[in-house]
Amino acid sequence: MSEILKLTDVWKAYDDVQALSGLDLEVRRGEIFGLVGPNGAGKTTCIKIVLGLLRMDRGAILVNNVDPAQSPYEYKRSIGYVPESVALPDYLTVEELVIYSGRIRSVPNELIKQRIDEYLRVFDLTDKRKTLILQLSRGMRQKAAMASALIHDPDLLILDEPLVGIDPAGQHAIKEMFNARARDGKTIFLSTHMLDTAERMCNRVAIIHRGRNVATGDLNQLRSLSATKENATLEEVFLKLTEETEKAPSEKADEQPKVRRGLFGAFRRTQ
Amino acid sequence: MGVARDLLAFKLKVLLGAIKSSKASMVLIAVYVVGMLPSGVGMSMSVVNLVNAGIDPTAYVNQLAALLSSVIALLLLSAYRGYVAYEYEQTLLFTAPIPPRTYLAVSLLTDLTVFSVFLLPLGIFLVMIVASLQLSIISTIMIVGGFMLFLFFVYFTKTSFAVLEAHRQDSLVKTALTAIILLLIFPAVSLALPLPIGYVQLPYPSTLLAEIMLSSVCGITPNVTVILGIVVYFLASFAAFFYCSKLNLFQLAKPVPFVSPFDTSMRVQTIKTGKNIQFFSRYGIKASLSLDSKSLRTFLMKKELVRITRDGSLFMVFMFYAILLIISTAMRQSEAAFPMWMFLLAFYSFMVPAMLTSNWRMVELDNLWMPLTSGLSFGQVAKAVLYDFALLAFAVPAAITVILSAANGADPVVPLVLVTSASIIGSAANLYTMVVFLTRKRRATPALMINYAAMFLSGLLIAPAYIYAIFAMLLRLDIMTEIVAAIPVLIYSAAVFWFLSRQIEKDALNIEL
Repeated sequence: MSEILKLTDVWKAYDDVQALSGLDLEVRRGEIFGLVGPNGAGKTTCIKIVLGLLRMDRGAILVNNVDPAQSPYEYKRSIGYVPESVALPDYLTVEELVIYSGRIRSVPNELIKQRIDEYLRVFDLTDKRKTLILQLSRGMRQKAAMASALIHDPDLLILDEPLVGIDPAGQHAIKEMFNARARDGKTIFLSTHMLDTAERMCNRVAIIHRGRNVATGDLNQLRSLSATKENATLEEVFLKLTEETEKAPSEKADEQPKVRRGLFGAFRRTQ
Repeated sequence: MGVARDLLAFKLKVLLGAIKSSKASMVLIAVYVVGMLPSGVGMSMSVVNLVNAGIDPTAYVNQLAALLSSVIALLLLSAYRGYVAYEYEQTLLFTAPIPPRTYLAVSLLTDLTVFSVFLLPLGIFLVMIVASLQLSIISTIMIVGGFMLFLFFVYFTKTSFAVLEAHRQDSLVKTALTAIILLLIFPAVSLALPLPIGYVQLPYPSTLLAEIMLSSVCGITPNVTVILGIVVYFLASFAAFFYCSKLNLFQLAKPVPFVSPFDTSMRVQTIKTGKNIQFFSRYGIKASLSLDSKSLRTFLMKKELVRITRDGSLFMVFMFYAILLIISTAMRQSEAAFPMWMFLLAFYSFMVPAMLTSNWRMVELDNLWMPLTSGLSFGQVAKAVLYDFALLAFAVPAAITVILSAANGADPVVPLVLVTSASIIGSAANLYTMVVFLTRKRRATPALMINYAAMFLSGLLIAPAYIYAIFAMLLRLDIMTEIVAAIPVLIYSAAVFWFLSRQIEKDALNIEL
């Protein structure tokens, strides 16, 4: 199974807060991959860097074997994205939003027409077709965002906390859809702090803590890595691994770039 | 008492905290207070001069009464909504064991405290009058006391109607409210139209206050019946307020998002934008986004037009030009009319892109992740926005220029050049500044400062077009020379437009969300 996404030694700081500290990550084609970690672990920063919404300070990224630094726009055509707090153009209707999303991703009109019907049905939005986004509930907005993220049938679908605010029936439909896409060789990369969701949905999981990848693998691999009991849940594994990281700072922490403070050096970093 | 005091401190902290948290809000409030001082002083000096010149101010009772009466009518309009409370109050206060009466009393004190900022110029006005005319203590008490009673009367009446409207939910309260509002409008109408009844002669609360204020200014003690009248109005409104404060208004209140006066934060802008979209999309929904557009550029331009229509920006543009047309029509007879409307047109062509770009930032900032993660060059999106802004800023004033020039037999070349230059440079400079301020280090800059920076840059870049227009008028150039001289100005404007649109495309790569 080849990699669709590879992050190598990615660093990112917001002023004097170190968000990512040498993050390494590999996501394979056709898998549902979960990025789990506590609040502030660096999950959203990682996703935003992959999407080009934030610049990394150091490191390398490959998406679908394309280096975003070399081709800052093209690589995004194979990505679909649903952010955590879904801000959408409130002045558009659901149908217009999906059309807009399709057109800016160069999807042919015929395909847009077909897929609108399909995704609005999957996400139970057919009745809301002509409704303004402004008038939708949070869960409905999330569904509309998913429909617009899927309109170009992306190879890599990136979702930040995808199930928050969605009703159980909607969650079930989404999980089914994720599984079907994975069977078709498409990749789902989701970030969540809901460990039960990750345990049930994902083939593999990466646990990140304080901006570093603590462990990656399927649940069995994570159990053996963390030396927990055979039937340990992801939550137990997660707690064990993050506790261990708290106690033992990694080698990478020593490499951490220092942030120079002062009048002129507030944003400058020394290696 | 302890609960009420804590509640008051909490409500004030919430209201004033929103102002304190933003430098722009602090600046706005300072500008308001400082800006209103001269008008307070000026108004008081006019009254003092009138009295000193021997003119009897009581002759203006009718006018003042009509004005005050219209103000009450305007304030009562909000009671149609029923009783409203901020969302945070519903979550934090209405779920706590606080009696509605305590809550209402605290709300009254909070409103009075916040309202005192707005009353500051009025206070200065009164102090100046009292000091300049050396009024007696009785007259001062009459003016201040009468005003305070009137203020409480309006507050109590408005709150009582709002609570009753929410409580009863039938047409009785609405009918009574409508009747009272109509009655309150009549004094103003009767000044302009010959109505069968002299409404201002009737014992309206506004008439009573006007009589107290103006008599006291002349040093005359107002008639006892007038004083009693305003006290009766106050007591009646207080009785209604007292009755309403017994009702469980916590179940009746409609939630509204919290907006503090002078709060310019992004959150408040978002709330206002949401309201605009709700309102304007009723009319703008006909201009819809479909798959009809062949090219991506046309599609993106159409999408922007849909936004401009539905968020009310287009309405504001037309309002701008409607005001301009009214000014132009009013000045038609004047000799300076032509140069004046020419510069007004150019000024508006410069203001419209600033306004459109500011709205674009407000509405689209949070949505930019969509084009930025799509694989589409942001330059394409920016160009579509730019063309729409330039088109809108140019088309309407250009049409007005042609029409007004034809009507006045004037030469349209200079104003057309000015409008073209102002609209295309204005659009590009404004959008460029917005994009520059979307990079990480500059994102925290207050929107107001960004707007000023954008307008400053536009002004600088449009300067050659203004210089051309001034020289063309001073030298009274003939039409051929005007056209020849316009060519370098237009080439310069197009070059600035091209250069800035290239820069926008480059700087878009540095946008961080």
